[in-house]
Amino acid sequence: MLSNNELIEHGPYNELVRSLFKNPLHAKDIPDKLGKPYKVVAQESKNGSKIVLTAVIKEENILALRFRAFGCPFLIAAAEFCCNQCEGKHNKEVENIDILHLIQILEVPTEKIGVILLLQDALESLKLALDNNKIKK
Amino acid sequence: MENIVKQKIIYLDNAATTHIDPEVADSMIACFSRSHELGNPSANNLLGRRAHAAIELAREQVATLIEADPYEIIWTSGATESNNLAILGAARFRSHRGRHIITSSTEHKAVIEPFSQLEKEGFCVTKISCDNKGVISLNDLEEAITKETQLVSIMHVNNETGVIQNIEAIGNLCRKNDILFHTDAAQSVGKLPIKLKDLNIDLLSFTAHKFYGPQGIGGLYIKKRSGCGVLPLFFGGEQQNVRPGTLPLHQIVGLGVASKLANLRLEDDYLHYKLLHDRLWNSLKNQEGIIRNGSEKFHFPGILNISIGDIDGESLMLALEPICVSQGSACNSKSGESSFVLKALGCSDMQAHSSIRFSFGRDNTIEDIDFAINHYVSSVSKLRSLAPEI
Repeated sequence: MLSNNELIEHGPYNELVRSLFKNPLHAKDIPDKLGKPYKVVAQESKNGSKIVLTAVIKEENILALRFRAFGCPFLIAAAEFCCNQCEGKHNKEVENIDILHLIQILEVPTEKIGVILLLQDALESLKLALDNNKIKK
Repeated sequence: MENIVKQKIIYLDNAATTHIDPEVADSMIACFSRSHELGNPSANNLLGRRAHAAIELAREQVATLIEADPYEIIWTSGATESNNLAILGAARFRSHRGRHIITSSTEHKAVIEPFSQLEKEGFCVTKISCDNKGVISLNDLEEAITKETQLVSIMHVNNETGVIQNIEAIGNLCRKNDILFHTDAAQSVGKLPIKLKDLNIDLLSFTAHKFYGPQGIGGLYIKKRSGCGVLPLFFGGEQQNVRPGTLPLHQIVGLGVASKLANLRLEDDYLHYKLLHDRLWNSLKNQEGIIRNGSEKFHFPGILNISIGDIDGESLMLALEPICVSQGSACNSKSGESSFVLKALGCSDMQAHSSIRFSFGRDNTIEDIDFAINHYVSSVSKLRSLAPEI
């Protein structure tokens, strides 16, 4: 929980949110040389929040997971956190993302939980895309 | 936390509140250090009379600033209370005259909500719209007036966009139709010349902290003329039975000194705001996607409201730190809702949500503005680089 002094100095954004928002290393496109990426999109029509996840999988490993986002600092920070957690890991790692834990560590205020659910939608779509691909194979 | 504390903060949120002038602060501190020499201003003893004299001096200073008679000023806790007292008090006072009242869709909540309250009490409310520049048409107002109309409340300078309404013409129209005219002048008193002796304004709200005075003190001007009056919201005597309560001496003294200084600096301050506004706007207006919210012609240069449609306003606010600006009015910015004022101008949800209000003050320098320009441009560029293609 943010202390009173932290709330005054930081507003609703804790150190982790600020740091992820300031340096979103995964907010970029995947270079073509890595292969054809999976691409999933989730968006919310009213305020225009949008998240695009792209992933390149090789032999069930996430070679690259990147994002593009339009939305509030929590959406950008959460997307960066997830990409950082999954990139370079087995593609099962996407299933291991615990949204409740993410809400907790980013200290997402109640009125902003919707944007994290948007990211959850994108992750669900990505899991589905990966599963479908496995079936095809 | 250390990073934030060490950075120089550039305060460009002067429409929310201004920093208290050192001379004002000194005058208030002097009231505390002389507290053994000053009594309750209502008391008829030596110390009471001294306190009363200090309040009457402040009354003169405020009256001089707005060219009113000193006895036409009622002290309140600020513009919100003044608006409530003016609107609820005048509409109830004149309910025998009619039960139709008019306001606009771009008013501050401190005006909108008293109107909603009166609607619940059976008054008929008309909210006139503005054009896409935020300007109210005199013809629209004239058309809205009926035989039952008894009160019109239209703000002078809009707190979000800086748009100036033609209160002189509105006042003349109201007087011609025997309608009381109230204006919320929280953003203009102390910043624009207001000559109430020459204007058909019956009620005018103002607050000290918008022009370098203390928070928690303001006033309501009530024109002394037949048919103009307000019923009190609270009871307990004092101030012509309009607004009871022991007068806060140090705050009133501070408001008086702030008024005196504003009067002396009115022209210089205006030119300073214009210099800063023009520098910022001229540097940003050609940036891709920039939209100015509100009229450029009928505009107070202390405020500049811009949107950039493909950038999220909340992310931009965070990226802009350590620059202090606002999204919408200070009173709405924590709600997370898009500005109803900008939506009244026809802005989309996205445009309203991406709006940023810069507001300038005496302490701001050209260097502050140049820093803001560079930081704004680089923040927008960075956020664009994160965004998906539309």
